[in-house]
Amino acid sequence: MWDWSSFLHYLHSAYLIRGAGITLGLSIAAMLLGLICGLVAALMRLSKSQLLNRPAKGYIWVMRGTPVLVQLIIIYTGLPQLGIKLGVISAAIIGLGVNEGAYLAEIIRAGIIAVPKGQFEAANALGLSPWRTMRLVVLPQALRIVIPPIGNSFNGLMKTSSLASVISLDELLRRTEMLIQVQFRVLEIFTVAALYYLVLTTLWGFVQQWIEARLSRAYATVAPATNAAAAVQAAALSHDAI
Amino acid sequence: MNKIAILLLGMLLLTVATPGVAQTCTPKLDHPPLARKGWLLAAINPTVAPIQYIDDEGNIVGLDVDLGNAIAQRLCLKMDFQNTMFATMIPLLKEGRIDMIDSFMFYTPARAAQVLMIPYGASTLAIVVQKSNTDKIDGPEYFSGKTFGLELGTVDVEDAQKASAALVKAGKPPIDMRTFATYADVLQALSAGQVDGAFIGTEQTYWYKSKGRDFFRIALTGYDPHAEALAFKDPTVADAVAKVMNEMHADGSLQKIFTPYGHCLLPGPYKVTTGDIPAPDCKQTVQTR
Repeated sequence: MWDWSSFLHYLHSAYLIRGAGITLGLSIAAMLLGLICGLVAALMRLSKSQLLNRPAKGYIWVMRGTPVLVQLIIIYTGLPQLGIKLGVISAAIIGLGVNEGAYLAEIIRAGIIAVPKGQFEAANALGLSPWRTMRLVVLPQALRIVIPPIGNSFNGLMKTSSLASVISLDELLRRTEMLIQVQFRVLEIFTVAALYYLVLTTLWGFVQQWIEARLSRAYATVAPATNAAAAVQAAALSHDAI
Repeated sequence: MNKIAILLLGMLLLTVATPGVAQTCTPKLDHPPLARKGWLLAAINPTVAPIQYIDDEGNIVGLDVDLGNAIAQRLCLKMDFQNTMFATMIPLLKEGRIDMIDSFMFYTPARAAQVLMIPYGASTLAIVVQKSNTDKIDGPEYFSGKTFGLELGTVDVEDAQKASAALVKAGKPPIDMRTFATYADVLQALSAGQVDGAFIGTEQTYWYKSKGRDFFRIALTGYDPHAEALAFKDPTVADAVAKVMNEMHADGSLQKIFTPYGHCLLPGPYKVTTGDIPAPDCKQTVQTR
């Protein structure tokens, strides 16, 4: 039978709140690492050089093709056999971040591909190097496109981070399980944990909305000129065609 | 007509000529209170060899399986073990989807306040360390300021927490406790050097040693005897099981189940118990199986 007093008691459990803090911190750290890995891998994937393209493909293939739980266990208990011993927090951040990076690589790559080819050509015509083209012209535009799916990824990562409990990280879900073992209030305590996750993901939703709004502002002011430039270009092209 | 007569005679002869075939057993429990008619459904989490585990053929085997099967047979029921995570066992029991939990569950007063528990056995803990560690270890207090692996959901965690609290009170560093899902995960962490030592069930340590996992040293055995219990929701089922366990104890068959595993059997009588119980007299040292 549902016990409201247990539910309300655990709703403001400092132990679980601290666990939620650990989950949030872990997710942020893993996401930052994932973004770095994802950006590098995306650029390597877009490269015409096989020396860059193939390793990136291999990384994405392995990371997306194997369970993140297995990856965490390999990092935590397998690497020490090769003399690489990482602490539980480092192992969790690296495991989650490197795995997330593979998914982010594809999202970022899709965002870059979505930028009109004309932008690349225009930047080239202005004498920008490939790196400056990417940094100053393409990536800023791609960023606006990829924010929603990356935001979605972070939302998922906050829940996926619970897998780190397998390597003994004392995050929200592990703390939930610890309380359940002693008190047996399974439904009540899991519901509290679910609410904490909901709070975290809802707060992130607000942040994501703010980011999207900020990025869209630049486009709202630029749009008319951009549209005009596009119109001029189209006119010039049609004139040439005649 | 002659053919029919011959057929009927044949059937009669078949019945008479096979006296060795047992007569149908009448189940001693009905549905309800059982979750399913004719069956005793038990939740089990087979990750603790040799008490309950899955063998190479995928069968759930072990002491708790032998015990459950014996109880079901006495009740004239068929046994069905449901492999499930610990966290889902209590909800399943309370919802009436299963009849009992037969899963090496430690008896605690807090648990006994929520479900009907019948203590039946006892086990102890061992402390294991890397082979290179030859220190004399008398208890978990040794791991003050060190990392210590534990299985989630066991009294091991409570014991380590008590020891750590005492250390902190004495002005010493606490034990850095690391919890894992199973004893196998704990040992894996120990083998990787991620923890300095670990609590493992005494029987489990000898089991792993017997399976060639020889990377650790058993520094201490027989620590903190604690009772395990079967858990029920329905008092009719609990009482029926307690009755057959007492019968099995009286005729010696219960002891025959426990002896090969080297597991401590509580002396009985077996009954639904609440509140604190005295620490069982259980000295596990050498695995007899």
